[in-house]
Amino acid sequence: MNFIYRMIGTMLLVLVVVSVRAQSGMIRGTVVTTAIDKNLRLGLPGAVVRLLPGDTAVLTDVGGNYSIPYIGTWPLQLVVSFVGYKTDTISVYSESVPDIQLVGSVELQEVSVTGKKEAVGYSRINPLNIERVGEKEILKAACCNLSEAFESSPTVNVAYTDAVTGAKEIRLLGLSGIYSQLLTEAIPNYRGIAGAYGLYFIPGPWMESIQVTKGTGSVQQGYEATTGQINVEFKKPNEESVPRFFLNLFGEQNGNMELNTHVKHEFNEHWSSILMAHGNYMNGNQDLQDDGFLDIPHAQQVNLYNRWHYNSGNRLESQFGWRYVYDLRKGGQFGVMNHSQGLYTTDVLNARAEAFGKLGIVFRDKPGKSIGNIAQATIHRLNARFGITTYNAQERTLLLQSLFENSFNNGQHHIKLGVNYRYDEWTELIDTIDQKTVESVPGAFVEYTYNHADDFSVVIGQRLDHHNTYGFIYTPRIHAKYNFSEEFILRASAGSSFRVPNIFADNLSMLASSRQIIVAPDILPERAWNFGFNATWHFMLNDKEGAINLDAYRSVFSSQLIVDRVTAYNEVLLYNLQGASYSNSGQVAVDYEVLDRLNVRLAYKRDDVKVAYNDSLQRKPLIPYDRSLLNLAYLTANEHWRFDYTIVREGRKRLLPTYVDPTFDSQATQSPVFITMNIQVTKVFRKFEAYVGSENLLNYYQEHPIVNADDPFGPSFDATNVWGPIDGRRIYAGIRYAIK
Amino acid sequence: MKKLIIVSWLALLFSVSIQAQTDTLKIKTSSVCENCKRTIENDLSFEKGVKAATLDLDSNLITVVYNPKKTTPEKIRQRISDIGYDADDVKRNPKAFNKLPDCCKSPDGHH
Repeated sequence: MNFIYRMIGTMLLVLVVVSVRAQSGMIRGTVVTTAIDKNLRLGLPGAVVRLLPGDTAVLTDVGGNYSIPYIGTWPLQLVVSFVGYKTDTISVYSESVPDIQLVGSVELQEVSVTGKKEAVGYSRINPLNIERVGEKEILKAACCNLSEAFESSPTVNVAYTDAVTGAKEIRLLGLSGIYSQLLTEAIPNYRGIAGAYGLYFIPGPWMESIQVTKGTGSVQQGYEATTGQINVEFKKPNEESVPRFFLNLFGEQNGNMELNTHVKHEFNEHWSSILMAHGNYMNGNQDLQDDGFLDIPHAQQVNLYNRWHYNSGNRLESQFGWRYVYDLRKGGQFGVMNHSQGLYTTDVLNARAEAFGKLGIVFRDKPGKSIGNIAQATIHRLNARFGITTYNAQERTLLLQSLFENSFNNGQHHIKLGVNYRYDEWTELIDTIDQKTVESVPGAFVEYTYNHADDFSVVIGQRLDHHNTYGFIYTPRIHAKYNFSEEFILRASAGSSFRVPNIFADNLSMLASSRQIIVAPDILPERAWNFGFNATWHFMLNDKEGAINLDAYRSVFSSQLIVDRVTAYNEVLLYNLQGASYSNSGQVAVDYEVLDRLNVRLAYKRDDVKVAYNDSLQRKPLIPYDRSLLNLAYLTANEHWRFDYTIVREGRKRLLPTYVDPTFDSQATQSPVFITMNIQVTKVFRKFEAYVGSENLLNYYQEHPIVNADDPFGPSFDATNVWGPIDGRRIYAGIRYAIK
Repeated sequence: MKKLIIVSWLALLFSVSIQAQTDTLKIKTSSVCENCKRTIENDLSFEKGVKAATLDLDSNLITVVYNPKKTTPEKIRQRISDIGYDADDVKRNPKAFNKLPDCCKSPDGHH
């Protein structure tokens, strides 16, 4: 608690200092445009702002901001011009000017009609390899939550980790989600015990966009993130494109129902707020495999999010809010009890409360200069039961960060300096074993960006943390980008990472089996390096934009907690890595608008993931050897209909050794190749949208996801050998209603 | 089989609907910015009988292609007024005008 007070103190101090520094004789404002993206008012960089009378002129910075010195009496006139836009003249009556909006000139308007923003964008400016998943892309998924937002993304895959509780994990660059970092608006979130079901806690309609950084991340968010960062941006109350009222109702043939709603209010030019709510109820009994186990657990979720935004109009911006989620999932056997020990059931209860605050100070006269402060506190409770095994945990975290950034020489040099502190405390009770862990980690970082003209830039980041158990941790990271031309861009990155594994929370699904869990003494923290290379080629063909994107990444562990399920079918061995552990991931993706408003994405990915299990280097099980994806998205000319189609071919996976059931002939060592298809049609009406679709249209599912499902309390029961879909075809329909 | 599904799906997408006989109409309006353009074009695209509506911001003219059997120029002008913009001699509905985004409320449609 002390830290929060100290933090508030620092913020106030900074505030006072800033207001004393106020200058006179400068007119400040921002030039914006909606010609780049019709849903967003974006700052327009490089526009010429000229003061009349006289001929003082300045250029707007990256954010579209300008400041121009004046002498004279009000009103003065500003002439704003930019190639391809209509020149605008406005009268100004004070030093702070409302946003000036430039509209495209005639020629450019035609471009803006045909050249829509693509749903997945590859940046031309950022040295980091970031793939943007826009709202359009998020809408392509049936529903629900973050775990389904990546269905048409080649980069991020989501897989079930057991066949009973519905737990899913993200996979990036061939490695499990624990090695990438999940951020909500640039704050690390859903770590530790919240990790296992964290993807379920972010409802789809709340998200504005997702940014996926491949390879080592920025040092700003800490020493984790070996394979990348997934940042979720939520809908913001101060954005015009967010409707004042929104309602979404959704239902599936399997019995799943959802409700999403939000209310936005702008109190005045400074204050705005949004309240979002999500409810989910699933009560269907589906059992395609006829093994007596529910394919999809019964679920109930209530999720609330309220955030506030304050903008002083000149230099101060603040946001704060809270989130609360209650999520209960009941899976396992259903129906008539047919053995003496009763039914094998699972209950997983997650309850989480979060509060966050952000305070930012921008210096209008100094483009690129700002101060940002972040605070976040969370409390999470997880009560899980798998048959007769129980896991109960509670976690409390506090995160504080202060960041100062500044640009020199017209943005040629940019520097970020920051300090942060993370406090994490969790208590766990596994059956009767009790343990308490505390992590207290202060750290500092510096990130320097050098931009050479328009063609080369490099970001060098370094951070030093002090962990209460493991001492000092040094994390260096570098990202470089070279533009051979406007169209052809090369990127390279290298960086180290550090992570303290959480034996049970990271591997909760291993409790859904009769395997004996054997943990070696003295588990060490994990250390890895990631090296990456990316080439992006933007092209124009038949007056249509397209892009080819090539990725090659390698992650190498020098220390890792190995979860060995391959040495014996009836044991999970957890021990420190002795030998090699790496993941090589290569991907090629092509995006192109083949015909008017018909966008095609074709991608192929190959992952080579190997781990030394007891000194023998072996392929990591349940990771596909390769994966291909084709996505077609079509929008009619009047934009009243949207069609989306995705087909995925998932390659072979190595399977876990399991007890050989005499009813099945022999033990399979590899899963078959399989294909899944998703389809969605949306009809836009004047006041609302309606959509229908199907996931896994071909109704492909794994025949026996649970080994020895007939004897769940016996020694060979295992629900973790999951390589394919469990729940078969899903058909859904929904409506979205919005008041602008 | 897979190919067949894709091909038939594509065929479905591109099957061209047979166009009915249409008239074209130009309406002078009071738009200001891209926001107004989007609002007007989007709204008219849902109007019964309207095939296409394109607003040129420079001349403030809306070109409307419509089916004269299903709607009339008067109805189209009335609809433009109802969403807050002038349509030739039909004045905008002041209530609707007040609900427009800020940039669309600049006096006379110009800075």
